[in-house]
Amino acid sequence: MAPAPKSPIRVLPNRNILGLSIVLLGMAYAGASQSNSAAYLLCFALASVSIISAIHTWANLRGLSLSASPISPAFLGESLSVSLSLTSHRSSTLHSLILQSSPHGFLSPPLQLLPSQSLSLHLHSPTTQRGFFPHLQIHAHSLFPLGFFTAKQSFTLPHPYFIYPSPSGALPLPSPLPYPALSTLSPNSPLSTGDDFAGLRSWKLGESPRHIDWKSLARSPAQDPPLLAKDWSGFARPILHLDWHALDPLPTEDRLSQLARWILDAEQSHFAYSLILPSIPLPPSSGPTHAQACLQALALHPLPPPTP
Amino acid sequence: MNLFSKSPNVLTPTPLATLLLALSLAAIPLLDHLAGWAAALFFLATITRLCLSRPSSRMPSIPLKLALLSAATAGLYLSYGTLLGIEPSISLLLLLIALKSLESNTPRDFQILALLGFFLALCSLFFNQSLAGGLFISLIFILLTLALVHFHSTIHPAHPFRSLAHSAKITSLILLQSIPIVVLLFLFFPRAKPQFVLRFSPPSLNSSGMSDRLSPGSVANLALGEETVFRAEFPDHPPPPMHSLYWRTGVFWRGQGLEWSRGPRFTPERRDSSLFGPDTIRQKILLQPHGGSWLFALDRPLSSPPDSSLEAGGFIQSLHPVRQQLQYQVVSRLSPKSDPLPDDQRLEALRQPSKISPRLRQFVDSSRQANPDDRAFIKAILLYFHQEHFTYSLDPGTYGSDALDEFLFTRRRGFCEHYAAALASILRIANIPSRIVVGYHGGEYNARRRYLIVRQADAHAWCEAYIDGTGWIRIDPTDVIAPDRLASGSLSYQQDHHNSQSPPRPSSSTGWLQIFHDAQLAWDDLSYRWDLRILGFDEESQRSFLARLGLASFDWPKLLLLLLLSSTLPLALLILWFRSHSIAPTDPLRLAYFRFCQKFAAAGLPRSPNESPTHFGTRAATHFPHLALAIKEITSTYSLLRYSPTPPPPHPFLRAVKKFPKPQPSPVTTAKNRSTA
Repeated sequence: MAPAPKSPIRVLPNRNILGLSIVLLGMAYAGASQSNSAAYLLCFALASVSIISAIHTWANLRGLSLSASPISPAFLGESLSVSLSLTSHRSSTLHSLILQSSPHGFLSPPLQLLPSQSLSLHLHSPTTQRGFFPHLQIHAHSLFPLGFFTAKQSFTLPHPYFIYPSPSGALPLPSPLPYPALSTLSPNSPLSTGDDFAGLRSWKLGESPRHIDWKSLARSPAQDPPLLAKDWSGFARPILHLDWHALDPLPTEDRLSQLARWILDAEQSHFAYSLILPSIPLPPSSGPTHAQACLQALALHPLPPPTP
Repeated sequence: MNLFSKSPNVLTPTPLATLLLALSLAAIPLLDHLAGWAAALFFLATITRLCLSRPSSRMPSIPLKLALLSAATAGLYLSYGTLLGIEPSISLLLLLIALKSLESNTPRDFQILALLGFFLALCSLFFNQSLAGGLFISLIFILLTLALVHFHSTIHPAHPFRSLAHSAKITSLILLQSIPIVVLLFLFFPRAKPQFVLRFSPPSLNSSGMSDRLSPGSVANLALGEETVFRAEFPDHPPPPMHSLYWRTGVFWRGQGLEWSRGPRFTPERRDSSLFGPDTIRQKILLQPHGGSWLFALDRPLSSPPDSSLEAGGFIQSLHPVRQQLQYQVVSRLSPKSDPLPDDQRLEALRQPSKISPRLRQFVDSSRQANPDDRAFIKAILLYFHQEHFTYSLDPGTYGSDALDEFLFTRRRGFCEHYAAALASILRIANIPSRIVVGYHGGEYNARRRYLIVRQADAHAWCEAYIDGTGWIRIDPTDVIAPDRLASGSLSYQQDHHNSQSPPRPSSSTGWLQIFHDAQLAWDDLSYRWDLRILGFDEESQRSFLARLGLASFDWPKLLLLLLLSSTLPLALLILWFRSHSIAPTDPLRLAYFRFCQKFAAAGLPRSPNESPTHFGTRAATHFPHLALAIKEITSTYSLLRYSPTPPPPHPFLRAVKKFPKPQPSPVTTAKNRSTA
């Protein structure tokens, strides 16, 4: 967990101060118009208690530190799960602390930290906007002790995170290009190279013995089994081209959602797929890293300019 | 129809109960000034809200609340006939609080309710500003603050009392810390009357004390009261003896037997220019509000304070009804002064009762023939009172139409006003100008603080006669009838003579009663100081206070600036206090280890923040080989204390750290330091 840098504590009056001001003015007016020193005294007592309470409000947030684990990405509409650890470095209790995330805005219930206590929290923050976020801000605020002032402190979690477009859309996966209709491949490139296991075939003399699948030889019940070689190919399986341009009539966000849906489906069916976006094409591949790269590319798709 | 909407009750019970308790207490001093049913509804609502105070209970819906609100307003209009004025307003405020408390279920509601509580506390200060009232209001203030603090700091939901105690600690801290600012605000906040004054219909201050008529029993009724009328200080002299402590309030010129009234208003006397003669005495008087216009001064006043006039007959009358505590100074001359009697006053002072019975006429005439001299005649009448078994009684019964005759010849029982009225009537029949003076006699002297307390019980009436060549002289028949009443004061007189079961005069007794009496005096002393210093601190007192500080030229912007600057000091101190105290290791073990490391830091070997104790211990041991054994021992014990599932007792560790010597830099490090330097 990395400690989050924090801003200085700010103390500002909140909307409850309005009612307080009205009551104070009423008291001062009663004191002045009736030469009522007792009313003045009550007014002064309430005013000074409120002023002192502002300092207590400030002091209540002192000695608070917050650290967070890296934030795993979420799909838009799902909640972002944030693991936080709150620690008080104080000799007194920290009262009614409310945490709020920015820019997504969730509120925690009021928390309190006993002296030198640490608290682990898993906060689920709703997501409202896809994209890349360099950091999540957590605002801690408290109204303690009288509720007329709010102390605020912001923590910047040092972890960037992505929010992917929500996977949705009913269109079927595009039909895969048949193997090995790979006109793009140069004819003299060896077939039996690549990263992906493409099946077994009979071993031919002259091939490297390292390609023999010794394990299957050992497993074979036959007396004199044929030697089989593992076939490796980057293009052994059908390839899906998930193309932005193929979804032409749909609005941007729907296209992104559809692409996200396809990526998840293709990944689940172990297809290799490429993603073609207006900004960048991602070459065909598969696996969690590829899926993540594709989803990040979707998240990074430029947002439409805000409508006035 | 569902009268209750299902919104969750988020207000926790203990803060809410505290707040409702504070609100109910704040309503108690106002009960006299409220519509009875409004108060009953208020308490009912409070109790109802307390019973609803469970997490699942349902709150009244908006139509129900609106119906209740309009019913409350209509009810008040029916009760008072108006909604303006201070009493309907306060009743309405109380009903609003009742309704608000019923509907409260958000933190914001709680905040509003607490503010309304502060406002309710203010309302009771309109009616009662005494020390006792002030203390009660401060109790309410503390409770309201506690409720707010408790609401914002519920820490042990499972232990309501422990968390209440915790909140009480925070509250007391806040209250104590705010005292310096209260004092600064009180002294330096510019006091001024606002340009625009909203006229309330004045609160019905039951005008207590003297009235404009003297009838049998009127003074006796007053004399049953124990409340303080005024307190007086004599700044230049020791207090005058008891027999000259006659506080003059009013003069009655027109009488019919035992019934006397003010009579015509004569042109006021000219102010005496020779104020500070040898026989004058200055008095500082702090008057409790009584709603009338009479002011008090020792017999006889020579001057009148501002906003009042010295009336013919020698008494002071305020130009406005006294609705607030009033402080004034007045100078009196104790000995009579021969001044001429204007003709109109002589005429009035000789006006005879319209009905004089033959028996009375014959009694007066025979006495007059025996004593042609005025003074001798007066003496003879007083002797008559003394010898003919007249008795002094607070409860002489009512007198009929022939009151004077009945009193003088048959019943012979009366209080001071009976004697004064009878004597004045007799003097007029004998052609001696006379009048009646009402006021107070005596008072209790608080010797420690040197002021005199005059209570309603000291109410008195006496007679004055005009002797040519001498002027008006005071004749107090009570002096003859019940000399101890005048010697000791009415209150103790009543205790001695009218209630045989009651103990004798406290000052002459010892033990508990003495202690009780001393406590009473001490309380009165405190009240006097409260009245004088706190309630009496007005625009004028502030000006003289500022002048004493040399700030007489300060106008209100300068005062506000001064206030702002001076109040930053306590605030800055508080911030510093928080800075220095709050953040420190509190765990004694951690603290001890921290000190252990500091000893090395002082010797030039600081522990880096990310260094484990074991690593630091090894490093320290190599730097200070002569201490290696102790370092290893402390470090390993610390690790055991921290991480062992069965930690050893902590005291040996704490003791070892305490005893650990301050490491002297070893020759190696000093040499290195020298070379680097």
